[in-house]
Amino acid sequence: MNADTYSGQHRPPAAAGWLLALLLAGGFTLATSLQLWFQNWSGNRLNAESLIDVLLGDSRRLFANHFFVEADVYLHAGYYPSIFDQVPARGKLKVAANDAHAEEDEKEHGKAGHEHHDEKDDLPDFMSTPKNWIERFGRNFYPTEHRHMESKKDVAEILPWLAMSAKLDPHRIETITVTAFWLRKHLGRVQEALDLLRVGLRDNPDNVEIMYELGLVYYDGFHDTVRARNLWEAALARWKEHAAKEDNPDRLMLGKILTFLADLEEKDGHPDMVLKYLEILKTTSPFRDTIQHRIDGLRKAQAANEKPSGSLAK
Amino acid sequence: MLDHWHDGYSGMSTILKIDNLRVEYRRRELGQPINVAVNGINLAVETGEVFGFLGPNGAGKTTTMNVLLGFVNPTSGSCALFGVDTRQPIARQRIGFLPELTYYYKFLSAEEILRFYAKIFRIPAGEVESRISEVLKLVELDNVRKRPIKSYSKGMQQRVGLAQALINKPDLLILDEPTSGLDPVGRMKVREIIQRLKEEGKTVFFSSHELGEVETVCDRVGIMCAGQLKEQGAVADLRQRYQCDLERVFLKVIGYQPAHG
Amino acid sequence: MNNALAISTIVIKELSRRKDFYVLFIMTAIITLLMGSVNFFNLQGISKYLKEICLLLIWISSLAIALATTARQIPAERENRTIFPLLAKPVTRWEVVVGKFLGCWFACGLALGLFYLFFGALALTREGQFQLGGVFQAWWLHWSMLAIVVAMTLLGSVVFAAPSSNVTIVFLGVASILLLGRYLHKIAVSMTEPGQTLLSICYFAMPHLEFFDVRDTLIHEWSVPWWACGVASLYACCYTLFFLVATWVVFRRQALN
Ligand SMILES: Nc1ncnc2c1ncn2[C@@H]1O[C@H](COP(=O)(O)OP(=O)(O)OP(=O)(O)O)[C@@H](O)[C@H]1O
Ligand SMILES: [Mg+2]
Repeated sequence: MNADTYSGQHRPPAAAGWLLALLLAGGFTLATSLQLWFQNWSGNRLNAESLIDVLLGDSRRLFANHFFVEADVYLHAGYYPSIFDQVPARGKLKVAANDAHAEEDEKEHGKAGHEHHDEKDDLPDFMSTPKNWIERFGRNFYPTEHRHMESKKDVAEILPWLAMSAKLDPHRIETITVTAFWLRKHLGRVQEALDLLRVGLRDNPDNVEIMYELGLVYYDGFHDTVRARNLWEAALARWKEHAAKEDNPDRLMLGKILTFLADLEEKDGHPDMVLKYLEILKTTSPFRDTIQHRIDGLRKAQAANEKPSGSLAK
Repeated sequence: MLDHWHDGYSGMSTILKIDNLRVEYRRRELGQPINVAVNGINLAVETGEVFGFLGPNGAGKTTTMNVLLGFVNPTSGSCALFGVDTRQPIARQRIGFLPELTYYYKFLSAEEILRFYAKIFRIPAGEVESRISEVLKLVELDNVRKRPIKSYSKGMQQRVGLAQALINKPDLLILDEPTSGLDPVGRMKVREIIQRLKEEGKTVFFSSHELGEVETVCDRVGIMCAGQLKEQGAVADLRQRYQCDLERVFLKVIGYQPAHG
Repeated sequence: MNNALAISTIVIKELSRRKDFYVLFIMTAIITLLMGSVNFFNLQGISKYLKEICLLLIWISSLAIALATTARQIPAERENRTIFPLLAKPVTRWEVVVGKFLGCWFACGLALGLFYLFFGALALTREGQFQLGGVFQAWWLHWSMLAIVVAMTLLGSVVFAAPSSNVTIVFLGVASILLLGRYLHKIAVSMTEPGQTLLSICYFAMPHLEFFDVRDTLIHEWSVPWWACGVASLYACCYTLFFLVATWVVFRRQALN
């Protein structure tokens, strides 16, 4: 009896010791396996630039998207019909920042490159008629009128959102190109646009859109046709590489690249190259007739030039 | 109306009346038996009396007081203060109440809390400060009146409770174990205060477990046990009837059998 | 009313002696100023994004303050038993409910005023102009909305046992009304029958808190008609009263122990 209580007194510490050892071992294995799992899971995120990126994880992309939309809302002075208001119009609103893009293409070379054109003013000026008094009254408290903010100051206001979007998701190409577009076209910040695109190209090597936009910065901002041509030619090559792999390649992009290359060559007086690009463009563009027209014009001019070429060339 | 009542019956009259009061606590789980905390008690307290409300733990004293103050609704029966049903807030204009466990807004100082209650009683602004000083002096908290209540000791908090019960110069005081947690001197003090109030013609209705104290200050006592009022009467009467001191009376009434002899 | 006001001053005193508000205010100011110091492409005079962030922080802080302070009021009184000495005075429970409401609402209004002053100062330094009317409207509407939220939380605090569950439920409710309230009837249309009717009932019965959110008009310098502000205030008044009466109905017969 006495011995019993004696050993009884000592059993709990022994058990506790075992338990502690077990817990420690369990904890250790768990920690090491977790470490492995974490490494697998986080992938290249471990070498992410900042801690914030790791912490925010995948929600980064969500926020990047949100900020991009926010920029678009700002461009319309806060007017933003939600998915519930304008189910069909919504997808188009998202590219509203690109509408201006199309506009630019149109202005710069009013022939092809304006596939976007049709979508431009699909957005209604007013929302649909309210269904009930709550909706009608509620419209007093938020912007309900479609308005475009085009002044330099207004455009500048959207850039913080674009910058944050680009920062959060460096692989969101649309953000990068759209930001560069506004910087170059409306704010005259070509150097900033260049820097942004360079970083973008480093993060997304071989990206066709970024190369195209970078070419535009050199061409339009720095009047450096040599670099512009190199970039666009590289973009064209990449496009062809990608197209070979994809089911549904971005023909719009191809059209833009070809149009600019054709223009460039025309300015530099290389009609053969122009014709070569236009022939490719003809196969992909919906504006075949316009292009054919241009090709015919060029051919005619070439033929006319052919005869007195000896005297003119030298 | 109250004034009329009070002035008209300033002699001996019923100030607190309990009629056939029954309070049941329903358990939350279905099928559990209901808990009868107070089972049909009748009680009347006359103006100017000091009434001691006695009973073992769980007898139903606090529950009865809660009904008197409208915190708990009677299952059946009724209570009246100054002839007004206790469900009406005006019945509480002339009473002072000290709860069983006192806790006050800890972020306030004694002075601020009394000012707040003074406002509720609509004590004229010119009178408030002197009234506060008076009660604080009475409960000996005058020197700490600006400190937040959270820095008070338990006994000091109990005294704040007493101070707030006296701020409106009540005609009827309902005190739930006013001396619990106080040191012997503090207890003596409370006894003196009750005595003085009695001399001023106020009515005091209080519960206590200190039978010695009850014996010295009370005119009448009621002894509750298991929700029923087993005995009530003048202290002297009870002593006479049972031929022993109040403590023995109490034990006999609640049916306690001493373990030996 | 005298009693209710007395109770409300106690509430305000309590809130002014607690730290939450100062913490939230300083946090809002610091985050806004930090965001304001970020350089975006060397562009000068950008202000809208900063106003947006500041207003968002103000909204979150105000909801946090309103919910956290209101949800605890009555439960804390009961838990600390301070309700006993209080109700032992000639105070009705309706006065307690109204007093608690007024105290929380006034305190929120004061805090909100400070937040909006900060916002105004920010706009002034950034844009060189102060939209006095716009900021006042935004503050007023925001404050009116908080009246509904405070009353709702008060109702929750007498219905639900724990303040934490009350805060969670009310917060989820308020957030979903603010985000989805405007579209609920449109979502309803796309649903099948029992859901459609239910959602429509919700849409017409619930307080449309999103009316009071004029952040977009303030940032983009649209104007809200003053008559609409007035009607919205009345609307807030009705719902607040409804929730207060509901609180009283529940609280009136509640046994306190
Ligand atoms: N909220 C409640 N729910 C259920 N039962 C309760 C509740 N409050 C009190 N009771 C019960 O009512 C009975 C009377 O309790 P009460 O507090 O009135 O006793 P008391 O006489 O004040 O005791 P004490 O001397 O310990 O203060 C007890 O059996 C108690 O368990
Ligand atoms: Mg008790």
